[in-house]
Amino acid sequence: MATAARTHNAQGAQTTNPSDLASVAQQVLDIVKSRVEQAEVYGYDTASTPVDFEANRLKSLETKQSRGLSLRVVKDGRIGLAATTKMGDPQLLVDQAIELSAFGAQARFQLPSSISSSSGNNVTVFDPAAESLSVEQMVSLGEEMIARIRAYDSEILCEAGVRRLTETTVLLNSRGGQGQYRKSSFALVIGGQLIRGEDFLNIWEYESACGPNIDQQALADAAIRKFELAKHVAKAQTKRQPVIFAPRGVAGILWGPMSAALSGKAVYQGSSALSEKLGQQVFDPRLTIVEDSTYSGVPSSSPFDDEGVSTRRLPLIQDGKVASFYYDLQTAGLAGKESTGNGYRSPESLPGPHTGTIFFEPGDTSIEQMISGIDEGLIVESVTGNAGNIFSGDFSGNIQGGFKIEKGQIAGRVKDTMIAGNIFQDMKQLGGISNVADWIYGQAKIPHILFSELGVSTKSDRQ
Amino acid sequence: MRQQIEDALKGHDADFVEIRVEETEATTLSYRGKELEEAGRTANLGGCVRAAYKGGWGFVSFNDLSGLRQNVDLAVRQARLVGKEETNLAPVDPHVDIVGLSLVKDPRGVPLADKKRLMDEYLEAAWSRSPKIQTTNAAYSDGWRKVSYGNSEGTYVEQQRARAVARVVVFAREDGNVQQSRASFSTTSNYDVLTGRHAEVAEAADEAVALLSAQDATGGEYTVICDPLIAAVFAHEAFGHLSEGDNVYENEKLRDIMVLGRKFGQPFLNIADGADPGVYPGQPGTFRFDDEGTPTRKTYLLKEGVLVGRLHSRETAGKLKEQVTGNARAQSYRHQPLVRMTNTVIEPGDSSFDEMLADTKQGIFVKDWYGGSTTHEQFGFSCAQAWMIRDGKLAEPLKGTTLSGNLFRTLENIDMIGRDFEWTESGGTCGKGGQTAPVGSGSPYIRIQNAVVGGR
Repeated sequence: MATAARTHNAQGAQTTNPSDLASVAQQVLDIVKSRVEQAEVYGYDTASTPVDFEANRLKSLETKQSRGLSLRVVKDGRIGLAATTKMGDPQLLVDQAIELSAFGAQARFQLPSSISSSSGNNVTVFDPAAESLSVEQMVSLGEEMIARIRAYDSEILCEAGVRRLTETTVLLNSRGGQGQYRKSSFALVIGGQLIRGEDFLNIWEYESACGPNIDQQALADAAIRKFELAKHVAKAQTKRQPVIFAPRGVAGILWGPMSAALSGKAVYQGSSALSEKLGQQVFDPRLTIVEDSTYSGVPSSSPFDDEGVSTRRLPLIQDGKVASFYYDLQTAGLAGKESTGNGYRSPESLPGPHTGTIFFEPGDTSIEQMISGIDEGLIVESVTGNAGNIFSGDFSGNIQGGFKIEKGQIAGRVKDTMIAGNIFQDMKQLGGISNVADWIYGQAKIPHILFSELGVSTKSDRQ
Repeated sequence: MRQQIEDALKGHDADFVEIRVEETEATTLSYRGKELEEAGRTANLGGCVRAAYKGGWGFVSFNDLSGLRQNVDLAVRQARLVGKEETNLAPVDPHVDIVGLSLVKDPRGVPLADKKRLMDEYLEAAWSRSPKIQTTNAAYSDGWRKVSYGNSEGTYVEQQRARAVARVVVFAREDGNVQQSRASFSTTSNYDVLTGRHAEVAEAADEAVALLSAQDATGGEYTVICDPLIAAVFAHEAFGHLSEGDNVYENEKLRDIMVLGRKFGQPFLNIADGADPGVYPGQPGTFRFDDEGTPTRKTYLLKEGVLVGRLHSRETAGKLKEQVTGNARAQSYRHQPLVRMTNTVIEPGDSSFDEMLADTKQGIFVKDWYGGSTTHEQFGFSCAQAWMIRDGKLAEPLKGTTLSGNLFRTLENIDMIGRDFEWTESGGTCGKGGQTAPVGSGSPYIRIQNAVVGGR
């Protein structure tokens, strides 16, 4: 039994030497492969050091290290899965996976015999600058952002977070596929709460990248701009009206039902409304959405998916037509398709279809034009309570981050106001798409999208 | 384990140190349509150290338990880098307690083939209801968890917990219209609770089909009658989060609003939270000691409409000079504890559902929920099914709607509370600060005036 070597990095975090993760994974593979038709070992080793600020000051420093293995086998044509963070008993892991395969689904895939990024692509998702960042530097980034907000308004009760994570992913399979890569992610969170009487205002900004190259001042300034715009409360009206979804609104409200409908799994099962619509015009012709996890520098990308299938540029919606669904190996096999390199997993479950890095192509309207063209409407960034029937394409919720537009200007923030719509009905003909797309959350590049009209309901003044 | 933990806690340089070691096992069967897609097993072992120094915290989590003492040193070093104020933890008498499982029928002892057969039968019960059933998503899972906790004051607690959940989500489809409903069963002690419930699964299938011909709600303000599930979610989303001590303890303005003694609702409104097995046995949020080793209890949040209590960790109770309540929970050894709800209830009142209905000239009746969330004074959640109420009777069915509003106004606007209390059994979890926690919730039917309903 190999004893994993321990090293301490600058902050004292213990991490497994990546070659030891690979050697434990190899051990498991060596024990299992003679007993099964196919076997795949997925190993991860993650180290993260979150720095947290609460009530305007530093509150805690954390060091989190976790590592584990997931073993997927195909025996007698059936799939079994066992996962563990107990690295000391590879035999038990193998026995459990084999035992469970008796109950598993029929496998419809061959694991890849070679694992790498698709040819010509050098997908880089690790930035050494993230690893070498010191805790002191991380603390001072948080302090700087908080100081900037409090200089604008000292009544704001601030919270902030500075996050740094490095991880090693190892993938080995019985068909000879071997792959390994490192990923780093760095994130800043800054925000605050302002309470006046019983009026609560919560604003926060978040950004992420592979390396520590997020502009902390710009992030704090973005929050300050919103606090400024939100100073006034504007009254919305209950009626159908134009609504602009800001990039975060598109990501947080519209992308859920869209990605659910484009999932190869939902399509195969018939729970997607787009099941029979491949190649058909479903959305406004100006809408083009591409998944491209080969894009370097953002933590949502990777050279290959969690089954070792290379990532690639995958148009999902092209000019409003359904161009492709996204698949993992098993779902693709069941559907008579090929994996699109979208097989992702949490360590404790089988891979399923998920998206990585997403691009919505910009349109031809400037954001200024969009706003100035609205006599009465809304611009929305986030809602609360949107957890409805995602497969029907419905979305709705109580606006948390949103503003009223009056006569082409932002008039103030809205409260007690709900929006509701359906992506299949309301996105057939959009009001417009902005000509600039923004990176958000280190995982998607999205423009503003204008709906000519959407259902809006609000509380009346009588109480 | 006790000796290992106690040895690692000796001779530290902080105000307070605690160690938590956790071992879990879980088995999952998940279905894609009628076919079993995934049969999986997970085993986890990990630990964490949390240290406090002058009000600052250091936290270290790891899978390798061999370096426990070094991890204590690291957590203390981190706390010392942070702390500049004062550590103030409300007192808990040190105690040693080993809590075993009290099981009627251990799910882990049931053969996997039986569990598969149960799920196969439930799926057949759903699929056979209508040709409009397009697909299902279903899963069975059971899990066991053992936590060993020790702190530098001499408390040592071991606790084991079990949980099993069976869930079937049914999708009906007509042309491009897809609707869903679900049946969900859960238990913490008795596998048989999950069995023999084919009728409820069939009912979920019928509901999904019925939703195909339901209308969209028209958005606006309504008198709303909520079934116990939704009322329980409302109590949790709308009020429970504002009662969490960590939202309040460093927030003077919020404390001015959430001032003890303030009237929030009518005198018949009583809301409580607690994990105490003596008060709320066998619920998903039930346990004897929280993740700081504090004994749990029942805490009234609203009594006769008045704010009388809050939920606390040792730190939030210490800062506010209130009593501990046993509400410090961590999702796993990878997380610090946060103040979390456990089992949250609206206590029964005097009315019946029939009385509420007959008394409503026009309104909406909402049933079952998908999910909800809260940002302080605004809450929102999605209701799975709804019906218009016209002249005191249930009228046309509506597609799932969303309900939202200002918490304070909505609490005041609860004007009738039913007398039949029900626990929800959806195996629901609550999310906060990036952590999930299993929670219980229960309520009778309630009626709310002037609720904002989302619609097209």
